[in-house]
Amino acid sequence: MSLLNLLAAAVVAVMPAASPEPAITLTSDQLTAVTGQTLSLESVLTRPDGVQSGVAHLNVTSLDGVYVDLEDWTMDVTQPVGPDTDSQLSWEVQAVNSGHFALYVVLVPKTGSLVVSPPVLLTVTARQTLDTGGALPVAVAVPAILGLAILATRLRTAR
Amino acid sequence: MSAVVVAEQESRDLWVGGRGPLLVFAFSVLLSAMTYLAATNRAMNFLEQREAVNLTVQVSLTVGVLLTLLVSADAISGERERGTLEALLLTPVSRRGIVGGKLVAALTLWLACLVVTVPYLWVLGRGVAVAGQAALLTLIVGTLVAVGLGGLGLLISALTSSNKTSLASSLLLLLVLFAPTQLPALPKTGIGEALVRVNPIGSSLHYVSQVLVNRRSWTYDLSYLLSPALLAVVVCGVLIATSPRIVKLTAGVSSE
Repeated sequence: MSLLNLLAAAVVAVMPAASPEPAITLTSDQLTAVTGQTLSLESVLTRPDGVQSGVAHLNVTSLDGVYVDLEDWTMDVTQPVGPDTDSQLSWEVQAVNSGHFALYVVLVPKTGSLVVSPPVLLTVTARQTLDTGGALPVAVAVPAILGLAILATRLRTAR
Repeated sequence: MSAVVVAEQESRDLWVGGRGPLLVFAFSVLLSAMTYLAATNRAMNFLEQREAVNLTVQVSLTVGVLLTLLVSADAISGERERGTLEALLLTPVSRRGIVGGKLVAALTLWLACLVVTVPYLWVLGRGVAVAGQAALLTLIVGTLVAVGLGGLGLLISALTSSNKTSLASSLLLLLVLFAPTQLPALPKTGIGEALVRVNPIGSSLHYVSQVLVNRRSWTYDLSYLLSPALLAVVVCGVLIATSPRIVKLTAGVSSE
């Protein structure tokens, strides 16, 4: 028994201590917006010693099955993360579609496995901005006014 | 001063003679059809509304410049064929004054197109408060392109012996400059970006898109305005330098 204890103590002593895992946290976990609104999001990367550089990538996933074109949501989808880079990154996102979405940041390191942040749940409410009723009067009135002005000028010249 | 007199006379001919109002009327019908189609598209959302404003600016700029080019391409060769250039050359107005006045008169058509565009920009852009920015952008960028291409049209008109040749050459030039803008992947390649930057229409439309759709600052892609600005300066310089020699009667071209 004492031999077993001795062996176990030897194994624990020889094994390296488990290094803390890198992690990404986001400044909020739930957001609401209306279509067209621009939101700012901060991600903080905790890097223990030995974690090198990589690429941080923002992703937007629809929870309702709506197609998400990431280029429409943000201009800077990726940001480089170097050894000297500030571990706090800012992301600007514009809510393009309505519905429920999950936003998360992934660190793709040069070596090792991916580091994923917990998701931010975003609820986007639709906002109707185009007004058919407003467009029709303008579409009719402008050519009508110009046409009447031409007609009036022609009639005056003819007299 | 003589250029002002020619500009007044040419503008009167253009607007009282009936050609200018008819062209602007046709332009407004085109914008009306496009605006109504854009506004009734139920699938349009916030972002696409900015794109609808951008589309209106692009159509306005391209068609407005086309009309300016047509008027300027007819300015000298047309007078030559109608037999009225001789009378104009007999007036105490310098050749530079004639060319300058005709260019200003052609540009009034562009300004009229711009004024007609404003209500359409307002109705499409009011939800995203972009109408004012779009109108100012159209005024600045469109005027640069209109001066450059209008001047080029005048140059072609003075150098060609027939009006048909002048109009056909000017239209072909516009088509050659406009066609590459319809290739969606062009700015993403190195050569493609160079082609966009060299082309005054392509670079202007790209700059407008960047400001209106991608919400870049006005100074971010300012280098794209280099080619339209350069074209305007070079063409005006060439017109000033060469107009005493190229604005002349040519034997056997008058229709009388």
